[in-house]
Amino acid sequence: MSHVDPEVLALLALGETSGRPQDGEHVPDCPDCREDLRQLASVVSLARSSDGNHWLIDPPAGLWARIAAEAELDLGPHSGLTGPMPLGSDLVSSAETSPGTDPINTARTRPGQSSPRLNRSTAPPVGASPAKAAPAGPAPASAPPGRVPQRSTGSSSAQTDPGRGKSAGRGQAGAAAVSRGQQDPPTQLVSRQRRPWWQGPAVAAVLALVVGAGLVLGVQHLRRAPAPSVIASIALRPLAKFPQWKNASGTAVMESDASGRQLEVRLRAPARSGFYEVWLLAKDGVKMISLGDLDHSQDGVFTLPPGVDLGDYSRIDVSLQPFNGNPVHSRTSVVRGTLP
Amino acid sequence: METVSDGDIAAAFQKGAPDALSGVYKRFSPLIYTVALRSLRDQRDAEDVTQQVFVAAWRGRDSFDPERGSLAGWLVAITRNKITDMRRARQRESGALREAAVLGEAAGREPDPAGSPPPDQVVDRIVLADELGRLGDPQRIIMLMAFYTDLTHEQISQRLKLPLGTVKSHIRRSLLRLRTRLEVDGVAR
Repeated sequence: MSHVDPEVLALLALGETSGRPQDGEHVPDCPDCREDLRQLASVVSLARSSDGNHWLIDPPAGLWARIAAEAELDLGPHSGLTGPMPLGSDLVSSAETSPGTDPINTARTRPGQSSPRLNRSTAPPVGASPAKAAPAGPAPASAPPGRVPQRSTGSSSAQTDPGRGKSAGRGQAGAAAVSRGQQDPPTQLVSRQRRPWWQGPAVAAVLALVVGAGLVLGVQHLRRAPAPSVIASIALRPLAKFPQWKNASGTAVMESDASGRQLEVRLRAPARSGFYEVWLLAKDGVKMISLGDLDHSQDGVFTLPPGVDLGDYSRIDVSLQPFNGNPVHSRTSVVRGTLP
Repeated sequence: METVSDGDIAAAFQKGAPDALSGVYKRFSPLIYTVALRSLRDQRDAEDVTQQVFVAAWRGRDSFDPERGSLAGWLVAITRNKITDMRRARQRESGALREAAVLGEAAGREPDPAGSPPPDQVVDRIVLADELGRLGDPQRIIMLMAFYTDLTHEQISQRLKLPLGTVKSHIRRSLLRLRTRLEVDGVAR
């Protein structure tokens, strides 16, 4: 008894008619062929059941720096990190990215940006226009590769500015200029070193043939913008003298771009009444500069005042402030970290 | 197109080389993040889970045993646990878990309805998408056309101007590769 040609089984799994009449008779009687066909067909059915919402999305740039900061807890003291410098090359693969940026391979390929279901008889509503990622709900499935899924706040923001959203920096005013709960996450358009294969002209022509008139697979042209470079990435830890915060943690990532320095602080602390404020503490333990408040997600991105001497103001501190209108540091530090 | 094999990445990770974590992150963070995002439907939570997964993986790298499974499968397992934890934490915050616990206890059931891992199919679809993304050209475009259009393999071969035998062979091998990847890293059995 000869089994069915594996290529025929693959085509049968795809739903094509294939093979000879004797194949059709063989399969029901042969457990091996039946099982092979069943397995291949289940792969096909899994693929076809994807509604386009399962293509991979890159995590936002900046996440790596937070991971490196938190994991560094276990790598011992900041050996090799003396003074502000790009995130250590021993922590970031420098193969395709500029120093200090996200190690994601920004040239990773992904099939078209829209729903892959290209049935000729029904024209699905695919084809986000190249200029925008069109989120349906919180998870923008059609986000173009390499683009951060963006939470739009509607405020004038970093829509076109490739650097960290300057408008999100709250400076020293304390009071948040952006309403709590709405904050632009950094919108990083990471520069690409190579064109993905699907941007090649030959493939674009093929895809045009495949989809025919009226459907757009959205081969996107990505703006090449210089990515900001990370100059420090540290973990923030609770202080022994405040045992009520022993389960709190946080990260602080400082980046530098054409417009200056930005500090992104993320806190993980239990909810308490009051609000969290971020400070730079001077070496004398007395002078301090307020950078602003964290939002309700315990996030904040702050533009550093130009000219701040980070050699003196080297510690980042997060305090819990009561709603009593007093701008002074409450003396309750939740977490703290020292810039290298 | 992959340039470094998953095996090399796993080996470097096990050795604890200084840049091993970034290599693992580079290769697997889209997979982990997408699983978290699809399961939790919240970007901030998905970022948190992703961060927890990679930090936990790094701290626990001694417990990864390549003999017992792939690095991707190990990371996905950690991810599912972290998603469960995140869901429970959310439920606790919203008080819904307390209600459900009260009702559940009244009914004699264990009080944990929504703090459960993401559905297996969700994870499997994303693993499949990951592997599809790693197919080179022209295998991937052949499979996209085979999965998502009405075209037969003969029509595909005409469109792509590839020999029929080549297309059939690519289809067979790619399907097998996808099947193998799901067997190794997939969740649904």
